[in-house]
Amino acid sequence: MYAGHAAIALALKSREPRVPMAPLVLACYGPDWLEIFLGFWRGRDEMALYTHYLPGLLTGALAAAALYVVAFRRPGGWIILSGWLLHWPADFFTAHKGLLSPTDRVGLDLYNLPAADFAVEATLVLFCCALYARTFAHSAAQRRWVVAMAAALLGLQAMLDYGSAKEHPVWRPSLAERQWRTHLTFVLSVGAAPPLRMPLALSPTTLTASAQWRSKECEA
Amino acid sequence: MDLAEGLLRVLGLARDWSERARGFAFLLALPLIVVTVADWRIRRRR
Repeated sequence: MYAGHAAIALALKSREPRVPMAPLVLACYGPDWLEIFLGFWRGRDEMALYTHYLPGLLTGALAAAALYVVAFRRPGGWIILSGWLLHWPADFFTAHKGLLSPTDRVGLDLYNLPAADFAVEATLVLFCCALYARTFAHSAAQRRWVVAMAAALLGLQAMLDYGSAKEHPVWRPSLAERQWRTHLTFVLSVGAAPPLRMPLALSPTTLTASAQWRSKECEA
Repeated sequence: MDLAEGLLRVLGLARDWSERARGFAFLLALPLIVVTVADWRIRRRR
């Protein structure tokens, strides 16, 4: 997710106005900044796995909240923590991110459906800007600034979605493990398989759990 | 070599300060600037 992280910062700001905006936006993009910083040593691609999987995300969020509390001595550490943690669910929509292992990644991969990605992020930006405006923009001049900010964020998002889109994007959403596996296949060692009467009917050659149990009982 | 890369090379940290990493950092800086400046202007006018 790109502009959506900034939108989340705006929504969080309307919950706790005492948190300064710059550290809040930095926290909402925290795993990405940390990826660049750690990438100086080990390379960004490798570090991206560790900054965005759940244990790495929680570690970074706790460290950022502690740093904020120590450095700023203001309330709102939990807002910094929330901003950092909300990075993962936001990125789930647009890419693949790690769960408990950095390489077992899930996500809806909307970066490869630019129109859908723009629709999701634009909706989030407009909703969060409305929340922010309700809290902070009481005059016409303030509302104009909110509109300008929303337009700038939408422009940045459009630039990312359409300016840097791949020529032939392949959409690969994943809600399972990192590797796609074929169905179990069962090859008869003796004789040929009888033809199926119906395409979806269970054939005698289908490997089932009960068949495995029966064979184990026979062996016993 | 730009100034940032030169500084990072002096510090021994420029292993992945590639064009791609610079582009990513630039992309992340844009919404930070937009939202921080807009928030500052809006709250100053209160």
